[in-house]
Amino acid sequence: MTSMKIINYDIRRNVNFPLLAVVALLLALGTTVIFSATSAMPGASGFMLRHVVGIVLGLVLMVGFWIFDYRHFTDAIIPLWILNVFLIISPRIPGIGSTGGGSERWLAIGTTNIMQPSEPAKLVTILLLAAIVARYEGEIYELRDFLKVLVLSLIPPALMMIFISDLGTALVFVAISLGILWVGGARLRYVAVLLAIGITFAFGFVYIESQYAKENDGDGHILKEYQLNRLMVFVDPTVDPRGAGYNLSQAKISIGSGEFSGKGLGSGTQSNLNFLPERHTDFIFAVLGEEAGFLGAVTLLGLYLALLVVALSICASSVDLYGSLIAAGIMSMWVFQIFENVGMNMGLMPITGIPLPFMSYGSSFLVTNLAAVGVLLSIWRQRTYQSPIKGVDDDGSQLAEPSTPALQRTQSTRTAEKGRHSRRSSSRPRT
Amino acid sequence: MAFFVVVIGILAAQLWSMQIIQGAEFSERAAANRLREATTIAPRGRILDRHGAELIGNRTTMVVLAPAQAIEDDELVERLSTHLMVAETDVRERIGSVKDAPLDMRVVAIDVPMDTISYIAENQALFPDIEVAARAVRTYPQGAIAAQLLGYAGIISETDFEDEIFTDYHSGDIVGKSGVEYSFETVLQGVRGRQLIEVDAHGRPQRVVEDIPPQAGQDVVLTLDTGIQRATEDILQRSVEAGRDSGENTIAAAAVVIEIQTGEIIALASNPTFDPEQFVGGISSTDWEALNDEESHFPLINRAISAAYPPASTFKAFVGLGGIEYSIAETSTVHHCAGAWNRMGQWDVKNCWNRLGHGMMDMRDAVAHSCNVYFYNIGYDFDVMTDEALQAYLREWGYGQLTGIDVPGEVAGRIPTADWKAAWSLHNPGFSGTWVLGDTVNLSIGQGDVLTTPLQVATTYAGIANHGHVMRPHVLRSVLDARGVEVLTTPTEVAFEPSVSPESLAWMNEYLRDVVTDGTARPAFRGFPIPVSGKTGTAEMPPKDDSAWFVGYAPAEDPIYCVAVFVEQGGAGGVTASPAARAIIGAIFGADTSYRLGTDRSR
Repeated sequence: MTSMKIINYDIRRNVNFPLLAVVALLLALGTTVIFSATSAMPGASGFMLRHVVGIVLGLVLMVGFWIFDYRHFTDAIIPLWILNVFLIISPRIPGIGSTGGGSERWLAIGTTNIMQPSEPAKLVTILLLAAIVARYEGEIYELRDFLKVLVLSLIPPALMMIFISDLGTALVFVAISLGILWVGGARLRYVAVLLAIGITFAFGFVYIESQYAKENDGDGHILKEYQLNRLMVFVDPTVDPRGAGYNLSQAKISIGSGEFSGKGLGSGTQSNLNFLPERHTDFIFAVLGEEAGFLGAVTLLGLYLALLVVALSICASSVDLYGSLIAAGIMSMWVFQIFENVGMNMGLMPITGIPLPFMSYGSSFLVTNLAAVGVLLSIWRQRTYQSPIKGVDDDGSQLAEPSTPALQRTQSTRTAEKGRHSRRSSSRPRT
Repeated sequence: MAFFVVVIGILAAQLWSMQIIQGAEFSERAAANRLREATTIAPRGRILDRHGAELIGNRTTMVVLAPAQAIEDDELVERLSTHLMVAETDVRERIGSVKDAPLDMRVVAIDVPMDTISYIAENQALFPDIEVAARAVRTYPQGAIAAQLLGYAGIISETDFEDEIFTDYHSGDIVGKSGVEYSFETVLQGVRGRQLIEVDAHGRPQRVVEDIPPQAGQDVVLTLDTGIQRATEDILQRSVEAGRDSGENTIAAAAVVIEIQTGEIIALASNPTFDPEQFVGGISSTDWEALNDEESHFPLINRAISAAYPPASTFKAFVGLGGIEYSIAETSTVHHCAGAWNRMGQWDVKNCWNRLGHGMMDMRDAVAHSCNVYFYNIGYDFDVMTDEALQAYLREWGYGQLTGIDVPGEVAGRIPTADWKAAWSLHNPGFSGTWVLGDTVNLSIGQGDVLTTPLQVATTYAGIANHGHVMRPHVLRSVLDARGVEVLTTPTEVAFEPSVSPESLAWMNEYLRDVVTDGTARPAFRGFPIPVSGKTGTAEMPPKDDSAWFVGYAPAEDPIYCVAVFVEQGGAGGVTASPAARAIIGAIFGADTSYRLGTDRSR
């Protein structure tokens, strides 16, 4: 009986049930909407099969990461770099890479597409950058340090643009970097300047590209015509009425026409009659908005808010700075993708090929997100280790690690929660 | 935390704005996206004869339509020609038709086989702006019959829209253009069906959301008798041919068969005629020009109601009745015919058609033998003793006025008066505008400026047979609803009620009988089993050849039908018109319908 209690207690302590609950609800909602969106497509059962395989694979990885102590990643910066660069450029490596139409970049065996390596690259980038930034122990005060970290953190997005020219994913990398730098103790001033430079650069880049494109039959130096059109459409929806403008207006019609309670699952006329392009991937939110209405869409936004809040609490509870930074990177990744994807579905953001976490169809994407959940669970699990209540310790577990001092835990918590305040006062306690 | 709330909040706010505030607007756009409205033309009502035989029906056919500018695309024209198996010149002609409004789609081919339709529909790149459509077109089970009377239907044109009865019509509607098709348009036209079709993003139909079937137009039952109509048309054709064979420049003929007591038109024919099938799917320019060519003698004109001719001697019955009514003559009044008449002076001698003279004539003899001199005297007295009373009396019978028949295109004819002549001369410089005695004298034998339609001649003689009640002629018997129940019938109406005493009518009936038994129509009706009363006439329209009239009713003692026949440039009435009338009456009563060219040159 006592041992049972210990186990029960242990699981309660080691598993973040709110996170699991939110993720389970998101998966259920996502699966339902994907089912609805793909049911009228040719090969609908194939979509669902791949999706279920993705869930199973993702759950296995999630458990794996939960069991694995994330802190081991700090010892593997070089292998992570190698893995990351490989993942990013692999679609261009002859023999194993495959570049389909649009921004679809695959790792392939023969002619079979196995996965989109850019998705796991996001998680690897998080683990990598967090490890690099964590070395500064929350102090990136010197401009020299900041620039050094900055240059390192800009390598993945730069590689992404150079080799794959996938603007959306590159932006996700930038968002991840910003989040990690922010929480990692970089001066707010630096981050703000960086952001300003980034935005200026982005606009300048798009402007130069569009000018170049005008003189060169549509394509820019790096960006393809369709990518430019998507960006221009955001400014002027009438630019490309048959292409990107069409996508946008159809997505807006889909969402708007859902009104309060939606047209019912599988009854969305916009989705099922093919007016809505990419409805199971980039525009899945529009399907939800059309079929489940405001109620359904707001439910999803509520779940996302819950997900982020739970992730934030995990970030705050991390036993070390590294865990907090990883959580911050994951939150940045999610919040950026959610805002960008939902925003582009509603015309608030330019159209980029960024999918919606736990909703968009795509196994690589799903597996990566579930793995990220596993990492969050691992962070949560590690936090408790040295402070078993009533002195009961977990015996015989491979997870047994040297306990982290309670003080450090507190400091990490403050770093994450009150980071901005601490930095401003420059009076943060040291480890 | 606050950051996340703000991010999610922004998205939720936009969601609220789109789904709750602008939701209805987006819903409309979604509906506009997926719903296409298609209207289907309702089948036109059928046109039936008095026995229910279908004169005009409908059938559905696949048509290929092209816009006017398609003619500029030589490759397209060639391709259409090849696939539709229509000569390239014909394709050009149909697309370039000037009869259609500039923006109307032109029918390139009808009765296009399904595989050709599919090919064109599936290869829009090869056939830009070419449309295929199902069209209900008119079908003529009886062939070309009563063509001018029934008229034809066609796609509504821009000029049609100016007609107020077409105010609520859609472009592409099939509408009545002439004849019965036009006059009963409002009942023949059905209500368009409406289909709301859901389409996918490629415009492929998915399902029918709403389907309001078209409401077919109502069937119209006419007073026509197909058998008699067909016989009448055949007989007119034979009389025209016979007229030509006899050396006349016979060009046309018209006939009216009317039921005396009701005014129902049993047959109404005009020769030359046309085949309304030519108009199905739009008439080609060549055909249209042919129908309007001088050489063709204008087959589209319904000569029975839309053309007016001098009534000639058929007028004598009314002049005689007028003389009695105005106490200018009595039945016993006697005048001497010496073949010439010099009452207007030595310098204005008028002749009787019988230059030898008829001798002493009373009104019976004068009518039976159609003596001009007798009626010159009545006309003379009218002119001298009254102020245009003869004209007034003729108008009482309906001459110079519309009978009010329920088909379009009727003309009123003309009863000339001093006022008319004065006005007319203003537009015809060089002609005297002064009414002279000779004008009235001419009028008294139905020559000169007087014009009547064959229909008027028929209705007025039917009036004589109908105790002086001139019934309004009509072709509509009833309108049937979808279940075949009569929803509308034409009332029997008196059109004109001339002042005439029963006694004088009785006398006139007798005289008209004598025309056939003893007078000018005797040769034509010799041996004919049906007792007929009637009158011949020979209209003089120099420099043309004389035109022939016969109007009569049968059976003489208890008249049922009145028949008027006019053969334009057919020579003397007794030669071409009387035999035609005899054959028509024979057809009506199931007697001898043979046509034997008359030899009687009398008037």
